[in-house]
Amino acid sequence: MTDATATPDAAPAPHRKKGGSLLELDARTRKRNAAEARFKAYGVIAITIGLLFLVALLFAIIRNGIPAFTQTFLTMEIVLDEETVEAAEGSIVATSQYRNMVAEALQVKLADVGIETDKEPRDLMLMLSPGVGAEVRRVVQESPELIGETVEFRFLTASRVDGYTKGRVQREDLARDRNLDATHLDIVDELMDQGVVERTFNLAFITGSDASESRPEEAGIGVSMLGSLFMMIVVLVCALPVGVAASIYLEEFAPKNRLTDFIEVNISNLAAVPSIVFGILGLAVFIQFAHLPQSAPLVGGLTLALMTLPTIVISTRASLKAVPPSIRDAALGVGASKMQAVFHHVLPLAAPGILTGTIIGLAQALGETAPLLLIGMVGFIASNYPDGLASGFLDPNSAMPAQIYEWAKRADPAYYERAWGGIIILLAFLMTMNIIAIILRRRFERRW
Amino acid sequence: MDDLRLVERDVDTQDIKIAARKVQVFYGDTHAIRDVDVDILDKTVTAFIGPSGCGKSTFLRCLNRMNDTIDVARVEGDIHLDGEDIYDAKVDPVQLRAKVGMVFQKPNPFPKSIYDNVAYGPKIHGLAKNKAELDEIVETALRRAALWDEAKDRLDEPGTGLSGGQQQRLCIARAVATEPEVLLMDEPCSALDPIATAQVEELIDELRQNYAVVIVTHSMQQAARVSQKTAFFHLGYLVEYDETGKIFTNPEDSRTESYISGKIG
Amino acid sequence: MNDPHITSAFDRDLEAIQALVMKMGGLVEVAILDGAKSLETRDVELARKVEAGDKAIDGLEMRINEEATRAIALRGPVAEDLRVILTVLKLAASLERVGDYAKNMAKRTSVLAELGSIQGTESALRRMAREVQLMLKDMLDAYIQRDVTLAQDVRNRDLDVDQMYNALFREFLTFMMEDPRNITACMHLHFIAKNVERMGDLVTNMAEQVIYLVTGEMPEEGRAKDDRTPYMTALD
Repeated sequence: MTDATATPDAAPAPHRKKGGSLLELDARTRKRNAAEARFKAYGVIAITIGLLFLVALLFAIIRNGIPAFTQTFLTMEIVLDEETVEAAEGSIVATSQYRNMVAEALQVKLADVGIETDKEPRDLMLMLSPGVGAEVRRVVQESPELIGETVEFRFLTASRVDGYTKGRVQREDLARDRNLDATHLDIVDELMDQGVVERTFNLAFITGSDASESRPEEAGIGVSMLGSLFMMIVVLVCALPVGVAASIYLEEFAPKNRLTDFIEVNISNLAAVPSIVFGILGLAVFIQFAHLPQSAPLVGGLTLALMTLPTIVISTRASLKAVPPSIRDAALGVGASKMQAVFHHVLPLAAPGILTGTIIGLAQALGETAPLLLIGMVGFIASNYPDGLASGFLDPNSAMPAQIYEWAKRADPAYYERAWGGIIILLAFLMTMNIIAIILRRRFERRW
Repeated sequence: MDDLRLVERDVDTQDIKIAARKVQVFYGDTHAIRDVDVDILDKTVTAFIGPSGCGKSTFLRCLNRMNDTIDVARVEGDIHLDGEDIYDAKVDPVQLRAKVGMVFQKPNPFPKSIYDNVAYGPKIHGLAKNKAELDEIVETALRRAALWDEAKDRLDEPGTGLSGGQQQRLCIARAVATEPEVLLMDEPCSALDPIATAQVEELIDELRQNYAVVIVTHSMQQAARVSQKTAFFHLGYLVEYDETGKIFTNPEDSRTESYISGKIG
Repeated sequence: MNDPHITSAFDRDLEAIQALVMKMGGLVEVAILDGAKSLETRDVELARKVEAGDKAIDGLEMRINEEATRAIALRGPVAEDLRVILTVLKLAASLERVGDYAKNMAKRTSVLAELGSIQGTESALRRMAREVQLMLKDMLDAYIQRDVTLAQDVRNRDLDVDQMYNALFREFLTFMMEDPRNITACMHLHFIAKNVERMGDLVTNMAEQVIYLVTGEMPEEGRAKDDRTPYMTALD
């Protein structure tokens, strides 16, 4: 008990400390911590800048591109009078006669809805797309039974009118325009109030074909999308088997010597070769030497396959390398042959990586423009859908990025809008492919 | 006295399963194995011990020609399995490896089901005519590897989901399933905890009934526990090869002595 | 063979255990000499001291056993290390027995002090004990120097001890036949002689253990022995 009173608090006597207390930071630690905090801040700033650019880019794309998916239409009825149709078909320029029909009908329509104007029918026609005559003729030829009836048509308006409804074209701009003037816009305003002119979703932009410089309202990306699709098929069929076979041989079977080292270095270098070089190679080999048809997806696909090959080879080799050697040993250890080991065990494990690499290679090829410029898969080429596989591969076509490039080049601001819209579609494709790649990787990736 | 033989020395046979003479292995310019002569007995566990890089694993891999998979490796000398030269030009290493199975340092089950892991060898060697036979082979192999009771209800589950010790026994089952005559083990317990190690060691002792087992190990205690014969490798030479009890109580060579008793020398 | 271990603590452990053995050996040597001296000089005081000293010897044996057990459990000794530990255990056990015999000799001194002296036999016993002590000393030297030749020599010297014992045996017989009053003293002295002879045997065993320690093999049963007492009769 005397002990207890002698030492009232039970805490052991503190030892003499070496150095300072743990509870307070010394100058060195403070400095280190500050440096670490600064470094983290730099990282956050860098990411923020990157994100800002991304947001700005997405905002610009969406703002500029979304209007391309809608289009202004004018709904009106035309009496397909038998005589007029016959007369039109008999004339030399049939569509111009049909245009006159439309012009007259438009005048009638305006009168119907109570709009008074002193404009000539010809002048009024400026509000509609130049292609309306052709469209009426198409309907007549496709379904002659309609002759004599009154048929409701939904005509594309002229790109200026479309631009006006989208806010792209202002009244002031029209002062310098020799096509439309402010009075046309007054009529458009009134027609919109009446519901005759309306802006709706435009499926034709996604499915349609390119149109001439003067008719941006008719242009669609559909045909070049098919062109891209056929090219991708060619790329996949050519590059995947060749690339995978080459990688398996190089990685698993080839002896390691100077030659294979040389090949290896060159494959890596090929991946870094500018795509335009592949374009000129494609031009020289496939078109000038092999005489394959110009501007055809087959040639484009072959050229892009050349470009994708290194990507596929590199990613396939990387995923083959990532399969632990213990798996090969295990297979060889139970008496599998080298090929059995590769095909039964290594390849299935590497497959997700190979697929991912392939999809990313394809996505790259899908977005590639430069080589296509050189083999002529650009410009105003396609206005027809390919009919059948052979035509799909061999007929001249364009590709999505080339189409976008072409549109962006054209003078009419309406095409500028369509270029942005095309970019949205292209990006949607690329994103889908990347997501598929990610899902495949997640799904089949095995941990060992 | 002779009928009171200790279990450890209970070698039933003096039959030589593998005879190696003047074996040399080169890795490029490196002379990894020099003049190794060794007779490996049937139905006996032979342990290869030695410091890292002494060539014991390299020599082990000569015995089923796993060194063939390394481009720069070159083997000279004679290795005979039951009197047949395994480096003869007529020998297909694939056929050899079916006779000389191998278990590796890290448990390396295929990322497939337990069943497929064991069935793979018999399948590629055509050991089973139908599914029923294959099932039987799988069961026998798993039983021999003392894994049947733990695995019989989960044969469809991936082998990679087993614990480390179970995985290693699965690899042993996989090796056993091809009916080998010799089982090579390259540090089979180095990635396992002591309990799993003990289970695998017990298993090795049971496997001795049917096979010649050669085990490379870094753990001298393990060599002492499981083997009947021990070979000590040093700098590519086979320094000493003798009965395990002899090596661990009274080795002939001072290098062996220094190594096993952890001396600087 | 005397390369240091990579784990230097193991070396320190082994050295400490061997030092304990040497210490024990030293105590046993002193006990033999003092026991024999007390017998010859009838020095009861010295005899008490020898008896008391045996406790220290027993204590050391326990200590050596514990340390050796620890070393086996913690270090897993093999080869020479293993033989060192085994030898240490055996030496400790044998030394303890020798110590016991020395103590027994001292015990009998107090009884013999009351009885008359048997001419000359005490000094003969002391010579015999002296011889055994020298053997023990040489054995310990052989042990610490790993000297097989010296150990062999010790082993062979047991013959001398045996012969001394034979001679004493005969003498005791003679004395007892001459005068039955000598029997008590002679019986005691004979036991002492027998014990000293046993000490010699134990030292020989220890020397053999030293040979095993160094060579890894026990020496063959080829040594000269001359304990003829089992076949002796009074009629010889």
